[in-house]
Amino acid sequence: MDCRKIKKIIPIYLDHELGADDHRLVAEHLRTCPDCLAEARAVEKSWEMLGELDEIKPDPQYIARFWRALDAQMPWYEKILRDVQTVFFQRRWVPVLAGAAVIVLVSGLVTFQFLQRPKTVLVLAELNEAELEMVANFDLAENYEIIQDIDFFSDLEVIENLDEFEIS
Amino acid sequence: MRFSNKKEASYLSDPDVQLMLELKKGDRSAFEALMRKYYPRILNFIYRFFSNRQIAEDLSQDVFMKVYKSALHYRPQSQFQTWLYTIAKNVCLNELRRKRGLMVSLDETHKSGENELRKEIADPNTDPVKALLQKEKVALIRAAINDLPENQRIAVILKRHENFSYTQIAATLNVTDKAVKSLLSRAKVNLKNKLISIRLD
Ligand SMILES: [Zn+2]
Repeated sequence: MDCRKIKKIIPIYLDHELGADDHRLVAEHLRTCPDCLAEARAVEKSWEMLGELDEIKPDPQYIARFWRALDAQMPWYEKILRDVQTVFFQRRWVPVLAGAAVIVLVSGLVTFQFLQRPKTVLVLAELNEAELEMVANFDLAENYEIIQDIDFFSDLEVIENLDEFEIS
Repeated sequence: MRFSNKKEASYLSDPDVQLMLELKKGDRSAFEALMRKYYPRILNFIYRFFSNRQIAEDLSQDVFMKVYKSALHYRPQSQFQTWLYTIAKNVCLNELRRKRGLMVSLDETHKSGENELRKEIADPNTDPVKALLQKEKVALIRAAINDLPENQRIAVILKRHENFSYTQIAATLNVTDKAVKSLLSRAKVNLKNKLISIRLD
């Protein structure tokens, strides 16, 4: 192989990325050709010089800064999704969240009962025990429908189904 | 379908791919682990490409923003590292195009580099003459890298500073191994021609 061809592959030779045959060929040539050897040394030296480039350290707050930047970009509904998702992910918060959900449900029921009281009392006076039970269940069903209309709960529903979307 | 699943499965042994899958399930601490591992490297990768600290910080954040946002639809198609540096490369090239679109001259990059140089020289703990020589040398090395065509520049940084193999560089740049050989061969000769005259040490 002539010097021109050798010089072309010297940079690859120095990275040990030539095939075994070519590698041996270049190594043998360098032993006998001072010109190509000088070229190899020059390429190697300038390549090593690149190591003198300075390195910078990240701002120590880079992780916190990232979350802040993400927060600033996120639409509000994604924030709710993410927060609830985070709470669900940290298992120890699940009982707390379940408790909170029960409290919201119960207080919703109580409020609804309270608002409906005058009408309900009037009707209840004329009902027997079996009918009373039916009305109670009816109230529950009705409440459920109303609660479902509230944005927060429909978000919860979306969150429940999140896994389905994720599998894709 | 079966083939792609098989291909996907082959990357599952990459612990960083596992972290991405944890993030997909909503575990933000998995993402922080990835950030701790790769943010300083990506920061320096971009810093070497642009020689500007502010650009490096902003673009590194963009890179990780893209990683985070793609988590929901993430499917392992490559080693995590390859995927991450492909994003970083694209972010760099987009920024370069944007800057060219704004007609910002290269002088500005050099100027901001100089300002940083002056700041570093002002460090009282180092011998000023020695530091000046060293910083001049670094400035020349930076200039030599900046003068390389984009793809050569990226290949050089990945090889020299990120220790990538030719195969990893090929995957990151989405070119053949042969193309990487050609890129690095030309880049190394270019650098040699620019740097060989430096005798500051
Ligand atoms: Zn020769």
